[in-house]
Amino acid sequence: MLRCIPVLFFLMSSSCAMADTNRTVLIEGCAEAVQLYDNQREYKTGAAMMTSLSEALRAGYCKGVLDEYGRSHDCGGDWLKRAQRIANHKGAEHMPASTEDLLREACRL
Amino acid sequence: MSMYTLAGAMKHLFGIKLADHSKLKDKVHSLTRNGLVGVQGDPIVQRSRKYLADDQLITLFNATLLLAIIPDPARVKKTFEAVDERQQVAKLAQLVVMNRQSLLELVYLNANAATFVQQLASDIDLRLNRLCNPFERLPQLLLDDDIGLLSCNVARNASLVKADPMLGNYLVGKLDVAADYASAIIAESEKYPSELLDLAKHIQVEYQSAKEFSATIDLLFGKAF
Repeated sequence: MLRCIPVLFFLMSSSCAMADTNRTVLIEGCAEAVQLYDNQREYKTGAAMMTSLSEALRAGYCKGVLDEYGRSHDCGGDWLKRAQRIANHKGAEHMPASTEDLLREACRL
Repeated sequence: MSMYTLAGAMKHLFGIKLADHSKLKDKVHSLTRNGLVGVQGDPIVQRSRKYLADDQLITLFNATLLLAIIPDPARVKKTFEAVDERQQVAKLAQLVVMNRQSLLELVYLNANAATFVQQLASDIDLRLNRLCNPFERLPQLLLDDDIGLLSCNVARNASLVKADPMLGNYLVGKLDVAADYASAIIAESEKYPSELLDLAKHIQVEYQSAKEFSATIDLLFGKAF
């Protein structure tokens, strides 16, 4: 029973865990998701040759985070627009203070 | 001075088992019969095996490379002995080895090709200086047939009609087109060397996984708008 407590605590505080997610990974991932989506539309099977395993994994991570956030928040726009909005922070000097802010801003579409 | 059997010498020089390549074995034995490569019999054994002295290894090495281009042992011998014949062979080598018109040839030949031709065209003693091996693998092993690279030029052009666009399209990322060529090559597998078939199979596998990847992206990312 004692061993279950940390797991339960983790599940209950998923929104806290989200806030701790590395923003850079999310921004990178969303940039790659947008790129992958474009490549897929333009090159079809060729997209596989242009995407590394880690890029695909990060892109999937972005999509997963966006879906999960959208499930518990009232989000406007489709996932791609939100991903694009987050990707726009790539290389920017100033970015939202936390992942939560980043996602909230992307939701306000 | 160490002594080698002919098979032992070929193993030592090229890392190949001569017994597995009957045509090449015949040619190499011809080189000893026509006296280009000097051999000695074992005086103790009646049906003696032929042994090569150390100083014959360079001759054997260079002669084997030349056999790849001109499959006639008599002509290889003449290349060692007559200046005009050697110049002519150097020109042929230049033609075959240097005029790499296809991507596949780039794969099969290494950076030594230019040096090989230069050395052949120079007057260095072929019995004392090893030529630079221009082949990643001896062409005789790939072909295992009674033709040299020169006569292979014609056949090559025919077989590369499918092989070269396959590699070309693969390298520029046109995996679907490359996979079509790969299927055509696999369908006529008996016409192609095993390395090429391996490449064709590899391209097919990659195409399959690219299709899977594409379907997964469609499924997960869906239509955005």
